[in-house]
Amino acid sequence: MRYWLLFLILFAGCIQQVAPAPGPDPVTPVDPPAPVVTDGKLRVLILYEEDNIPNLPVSQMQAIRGPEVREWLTSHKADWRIWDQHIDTQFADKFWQDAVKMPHDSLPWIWVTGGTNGKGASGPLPKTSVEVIDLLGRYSK
Amino acid sequence: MSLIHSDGCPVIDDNSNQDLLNLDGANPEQGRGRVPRDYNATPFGSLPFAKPVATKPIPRSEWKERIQEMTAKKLILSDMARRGGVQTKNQGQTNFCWAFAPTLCVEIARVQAGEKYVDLSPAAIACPVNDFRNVGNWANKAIAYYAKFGGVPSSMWPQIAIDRRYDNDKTQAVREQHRVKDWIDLPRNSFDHLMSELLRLRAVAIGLDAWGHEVTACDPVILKDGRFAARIWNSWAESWGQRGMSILAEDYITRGFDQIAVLHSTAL
Repeated sequence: MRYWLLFLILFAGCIQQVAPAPGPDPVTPVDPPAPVVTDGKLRVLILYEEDNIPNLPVSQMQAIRGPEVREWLTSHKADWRIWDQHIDTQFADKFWQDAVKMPHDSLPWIWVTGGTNGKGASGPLPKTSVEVIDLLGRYSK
Repeated sequence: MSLIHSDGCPVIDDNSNQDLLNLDGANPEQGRGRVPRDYNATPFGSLPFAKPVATKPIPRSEWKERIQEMTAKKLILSDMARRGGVQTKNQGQTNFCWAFAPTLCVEIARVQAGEKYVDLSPAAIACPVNDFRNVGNWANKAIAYYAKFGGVPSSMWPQIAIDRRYDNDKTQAVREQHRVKDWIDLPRNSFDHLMSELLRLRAVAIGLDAWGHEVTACDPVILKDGRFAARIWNSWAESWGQRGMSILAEDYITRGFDQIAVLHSTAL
């Protein structure tokens, strides 16, 4: 009986860890993220459409173009790219060539993989830098 | 008169800090070389590698608030570029400003994309365009060369080396990696379009009639007296202005200018 109780507590803890955060965050955790990363280094791709930049909310445009998200990624030693969807990747690492081809329903899109908890995320880019960083924080060390 | 912005950066307008322009050539180490774009031969929107900007500019009524917000949140493109490793260039006595400014735009765009900083050589663009003569030209020639052939890292072709020995098999082989095929053509003399791109954190190469010089505009600025302005990154070394930068007031820029920007670069 004691073991069942322990199992239930641990199971409940796992559910809490992988469940999407409440609220407007539309990004869905994926397991396993693909391309699969095994070295434990956080990798992040944000893909957008240049022609649509003027139509985005200012805060989302600033998340794509501004320093806040970039500096968070750099300070957390993540490998990251923020690209227009039409970028020529022929000289990029195969990892990023594959990543940019991943299916996505809309742009701007964020894809996160390689965090230490083994989870990733794939979905619409949150609307502000704070929300993007909050999302990234869930997958970093 | 010597206007200084609140962050210590010198402000250039028709009456302030004119000595920084070196129009009298007192400092021979500060070449220029910008030739105005011939809009009869290449009208706005006719450039094969630069699509005309299709979006309306951000209304002027929003500029002040947006600049204040960017300043408060430290959304400063030039700072971000520096932290990404981008360095002030120095064109020395060359007349290659028209290649230096677009090259800086490429480097900034790449750092913005999360790619490693590669110090590119403007001479590797200007020399083949100019048949290795140290003469002026216009930025569109530089971007056409970037689009057709690509650039070369400064480690392989020094930034101001006018020397055919650098145009060799090794440098030819790397050009493809540094091709930049997609640029944006912005309307001549449209300060509204310039500010809109800066407010959207995109660097713009601007060729200035009054100065006869091409520089890279990085940040939108509002001056103490309420005038709008742009922080520019010059190619006259770190010792010029404030670490290679100054602020150009709208009234100085709009004495006549053309402008072009990187749409997106080739990934490394």
